[in-house]
Amino acid sequence: MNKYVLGISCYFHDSSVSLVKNGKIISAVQEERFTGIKGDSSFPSRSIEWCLNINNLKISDISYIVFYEKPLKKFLRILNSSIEYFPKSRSFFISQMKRWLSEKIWTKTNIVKKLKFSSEKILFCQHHLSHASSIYYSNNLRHSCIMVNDGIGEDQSFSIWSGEKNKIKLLDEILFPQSLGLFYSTMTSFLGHQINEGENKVMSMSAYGNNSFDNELNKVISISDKKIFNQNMDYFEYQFSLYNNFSNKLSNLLGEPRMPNSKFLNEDFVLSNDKSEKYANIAYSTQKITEDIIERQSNHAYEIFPSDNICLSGGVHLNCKANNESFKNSKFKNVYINFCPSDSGGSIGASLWAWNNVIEKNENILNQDVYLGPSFDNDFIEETLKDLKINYTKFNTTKELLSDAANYLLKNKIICWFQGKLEFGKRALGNRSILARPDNKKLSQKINNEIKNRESFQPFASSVLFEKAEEFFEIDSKFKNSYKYMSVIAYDNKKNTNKLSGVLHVDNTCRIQLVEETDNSLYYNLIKNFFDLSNIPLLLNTSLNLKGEPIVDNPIKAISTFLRSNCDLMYIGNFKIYQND
Amino acid sequence: MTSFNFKSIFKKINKKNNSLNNQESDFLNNFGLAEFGSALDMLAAAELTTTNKLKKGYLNHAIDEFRHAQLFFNHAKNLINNFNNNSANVSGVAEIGERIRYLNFIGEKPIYSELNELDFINFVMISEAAAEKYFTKLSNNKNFNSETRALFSLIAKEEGHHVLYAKKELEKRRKNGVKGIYKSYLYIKWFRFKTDLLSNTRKIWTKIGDLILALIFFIFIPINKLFFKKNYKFNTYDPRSMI
Repeated sequence: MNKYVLGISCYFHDSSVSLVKNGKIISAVQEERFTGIKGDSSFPSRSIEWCLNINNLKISDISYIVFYEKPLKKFLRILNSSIEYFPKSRSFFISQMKRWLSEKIWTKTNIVKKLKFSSEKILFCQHHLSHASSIYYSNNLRHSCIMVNDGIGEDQSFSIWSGEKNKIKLLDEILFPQSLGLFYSTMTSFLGHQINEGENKVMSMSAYGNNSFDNELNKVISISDKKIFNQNMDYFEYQFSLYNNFSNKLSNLLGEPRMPNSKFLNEDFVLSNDKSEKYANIAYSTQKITEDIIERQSNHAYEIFPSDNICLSGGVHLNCKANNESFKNSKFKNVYINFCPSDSGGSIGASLWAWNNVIEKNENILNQDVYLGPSFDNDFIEETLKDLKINYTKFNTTKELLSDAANYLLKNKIICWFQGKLEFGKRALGNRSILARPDNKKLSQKINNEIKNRESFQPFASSVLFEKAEEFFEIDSKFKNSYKYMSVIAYDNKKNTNKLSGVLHVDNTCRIQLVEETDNSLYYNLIKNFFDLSNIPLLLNTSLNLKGEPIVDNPIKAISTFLRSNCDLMYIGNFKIYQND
Repeated sequence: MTSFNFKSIFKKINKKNNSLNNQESDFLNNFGLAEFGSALDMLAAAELTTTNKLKKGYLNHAIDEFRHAQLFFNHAKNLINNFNNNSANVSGVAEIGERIRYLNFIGEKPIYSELNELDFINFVMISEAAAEKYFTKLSNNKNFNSETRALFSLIAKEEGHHVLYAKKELEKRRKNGVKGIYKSYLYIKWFRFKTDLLSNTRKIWTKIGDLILALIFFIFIPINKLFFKKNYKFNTYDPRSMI
């Protein structure tokens, strides 16, 4: 008889649900994809309904529901902070209590009431254990060190775990308020970006800077032999404030914070003024110290649990530049970062943890797929197009579809690509993507300015044919299991720079996705078709969404996004639609 | 479509000073979020409706609302940039989602799924008519500069189009002999009154709640501080425990 476990993460950011059947994730989706609210943190009712319906299950078929963290443990940490920082913590206490008393503290009751599920079968994993499980149990590893780095879980901000014979054990930890993740988020806020949203922009800005702020940043956070790093909490206020992350002391040290949306680059893509130069330098030092600390963490991890493998999870490891810089010289031979290092992966980790520790306790670890969300067949798509009175062209074969799309890409068209199952996680990995040729800088500028409304300094990722990647980039075999999820950057190897002008960042790096036919055959063959025509084995790939919106899940949202964008064409299933129709 | 309470925001705007300021940009951002919420509801309606001929109308409506949201956001951004205000809040956790839900009463299910098709069309008509009325009033409010008023006027006009298409659809149904249209209209009037009331009372309850929490903070937290042990750690391994 089949056994099912449902994992839930919610009430912080990026709510999600995952469903495990006999040890393997069969469905997983983030709530934001259904509600249209980016980073939606609400209870994932729509995702749960979808997971059950798509697998023809009733809630009574579920053996256990697992929540990704221990809510009361987190609540007590918040109470402790309020007490420790009294009376400065007044507004922090009031706003946190409102949130907690209205729903978070009732997590178990909410699950019981909303899903009509027995409270006896509800389990609670721990935040960092969920992260660790999401990566360890997703890979077929017997022996691995696991490192989790994020803003804050219940009370841990950093932890090292051993993964041996299907068992995960805590080896070391750093507790709140010390937190590398919250340091980076604070600097994100200082540099005029929104927390949990703009961290990648700091990473992009850092490529324009130099080390002139290293000394100042070292006063804020520095490497320590004993404790891995020292963080001077006088520069921070996140311990007792929800809205001000940094103190006046940080502003006195670094100068005025950057205004949101202020100009960073001019029309020629160089720093627009002295202020921009200052902020670029602060971003550089922020990124550099982060990389140095992660390198120190990895050395420490190796000292306490030597292994060939290391698994990385937690929001900090969305920083693909740091992932490369901090681990390229490490003693670990294989670095694993999967498709969901952030909190949305908590549901995946919690459900896999429960399966492997509460239900089966066997040693069969299974490789997990990334395409776990909704898909729509051609009949449904055609019916939708007809209902919406949208003119379309139908392709009878996949070969025709791929050839047509590749030809348009060659002609400098920007296309929306909606195929197969929705990806889980933050990255569009070739099923819900906006694609363009990678050697045309004007196209990438158009996507930034007119389609995605991003800041002009933000670079694009590229999807590269696995077997051709070394002709373009410096590929490190250590990351072979991470490249396919766009988790690491790679440097241009200077052999074909002119073919990368649209995707190469100012520091000659690119966030790459290596695509193998076995992972995503259709997408692989699209790039292959384009390669046959252009001799370029890669495409610019950015997610199919507009600013402030999540990646689209269904044909209607895809069409709405396409019609509001300045993309030229959309390939949706076996159909092609045009903008002017 | 949302039950966004335009009236309460309008009251706040009337109270503000004559000069343009940061607050105006906040109001515009709130309107942007309200329009964004409407767009999400219309998109959900386009996804869920089984009346195929309404799909396109709902989608077009959603696209209009997304555009309105963008117009408000862009205008708010321009205002901030023009004022070169250095005190703007550069911090803050990403709370856009929570604000969209709060402003629009977005629940766990789309509003379309909680109403039948007829009620939903009435809901669109009544809500859009309210929006048209308030944006028209705002467009005549001399407290705003000409660009802002022109934007309100444009939005009011387009909301008016939405009212017309909803009315047309209801008229078509009436001609086809559909019963209960007026009853549905009255139900939606009541529904909106309820949500507006909820919105206003929620603000009162929030303020009372803040007061109680502030009292707790100043009475109980200092007492606890006396016995506070730093770095207190909880270690439990019971998978059924929330702690």
